Amino acid sequence: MAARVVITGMGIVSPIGIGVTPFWKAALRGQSGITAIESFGDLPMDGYRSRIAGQIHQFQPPDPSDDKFSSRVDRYAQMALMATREAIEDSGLCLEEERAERLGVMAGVGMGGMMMGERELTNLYESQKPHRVHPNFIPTITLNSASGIIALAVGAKGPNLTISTACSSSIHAIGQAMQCIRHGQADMMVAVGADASITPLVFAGFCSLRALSTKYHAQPHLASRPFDRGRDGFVMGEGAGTLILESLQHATRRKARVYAELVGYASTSEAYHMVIPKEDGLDIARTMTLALQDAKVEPRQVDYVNAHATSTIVGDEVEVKGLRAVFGKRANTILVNATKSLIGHTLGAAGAIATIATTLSLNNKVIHPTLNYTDPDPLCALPGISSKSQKKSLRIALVNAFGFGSNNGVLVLKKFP
Amino acid sequence: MTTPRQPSSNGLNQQVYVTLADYLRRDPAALHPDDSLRDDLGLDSLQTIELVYQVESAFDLQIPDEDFGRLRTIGDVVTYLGERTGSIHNHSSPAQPSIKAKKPSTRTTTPTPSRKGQSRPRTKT
Repeated sequence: MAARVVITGMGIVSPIGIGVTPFWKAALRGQSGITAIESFGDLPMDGYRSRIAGQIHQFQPPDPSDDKFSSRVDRYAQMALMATREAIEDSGLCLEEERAERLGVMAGVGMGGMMMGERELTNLYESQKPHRVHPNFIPTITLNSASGIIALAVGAKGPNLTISTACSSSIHAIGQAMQCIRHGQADMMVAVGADASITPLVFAGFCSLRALSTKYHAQPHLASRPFDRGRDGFVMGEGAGTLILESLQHATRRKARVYAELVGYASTSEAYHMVIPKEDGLDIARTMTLALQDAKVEPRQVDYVNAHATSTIVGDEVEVKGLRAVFGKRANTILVNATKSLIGHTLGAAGAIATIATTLSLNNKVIHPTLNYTDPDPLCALPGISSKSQKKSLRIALVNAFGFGSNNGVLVLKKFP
Repeated sequence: MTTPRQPSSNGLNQQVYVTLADYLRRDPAALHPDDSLRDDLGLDSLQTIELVYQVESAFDLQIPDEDFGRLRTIGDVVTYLGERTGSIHNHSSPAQPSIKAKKPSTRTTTPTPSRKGQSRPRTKT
């Protein structure tokens, strides 16, 4: 019989707070983390269609002399490391007393070390000196630099993998970490998602894709508005989220505090289009149904969905179609919110941060507001969406994430015990 | 924003059709002003973005998102570029008969149904 998997620790680096407590307080009061991008160094913002993002202005990586790990990796992996350290401390795990071979790391990363990548490429072309490319360039830009550096920092010798499925990366990282524990490959997993690629090239790329909000430059806090009629694209964000997963047996043996149980996961492909979701929402519905089946939970038992809801015109509409297909009339009673309304779309970190928000909601019987949901779009409005926080006793929750490459992921969480 | 070029109206038409035909890999004479980018040419939203990107490159200008939704047909693109570059033009393609034969199907991808009034591309992220 597969092991049961529980969440015992959390850590977060986000545009509305570094640390779970600051994040959660800011989330509940509906604080926006979206601000104007002043410039990309010498590159002015005039040429960019979008000029706002969920930036973490207060993030400071540790002093290199104090932290040999952080100094060797790019900003996203530094954030991942910071979130992971908080999560491990929060879990109460005493790693010296644990078997390193039974602790693994599963990272979800969308873009990776683009900050250093862009910088070194620019320097190479400007200087014409290949020998001046930084020796740490390759280990920094490889997508597994976060999972690698975390393993080094915490001494995790179990499975160590990176999943890159664009915007759904860390939902799959959490799901696959759960599978590692279920299948007995590990007792403890660090499931982490991170991205920090608000960089000149990546940001320009998303602008060229015409995927970003462009109407709210003067009022950045209004730009991320999932399910609202005034939405006009997503807002890019940065950050990291880490969850410590353990087998229930392991957590019980060490008398750990358990936040929630992870009971279901599904991963599917729409096999449809690299960046466009299928309009009928049926593959999204199928993914939710498979996750519920994995959890042995009926749709009527679901209380809350933390939606993918990026604030794109079609994406939000298609997700609600999927919700209606799965839940029928119950779609009118379940609570739904969008963490991206607060912090923007943190890409590889989004699934992990949303899962942390969902775990906190199960524990605290309250969900955070969906910011700027002031003029509900009839095509994707649901009664359970609100621009205010909502208090309700919750037992079963879903977390949705969908990504470029036509992929979908859904997690099912259950209140514990 | 860069200063647009100022081609003559005929020159503008020629340049637009050549640019579009180049992206579509078709003969410019096979394009008609009434051709819908989506329904007749079979472009999905990403392909439309790519096509507009080609136009931006060719004419050295930037087309803002709020104008993007206007570009639904070949004629829309010509009209828009005429406005942006200050050229007067008509909608006829430069090398095609006045009465156009039925076009062969050029659909290479399944078009996505439109949402009425939608003026932004449709991406998943």
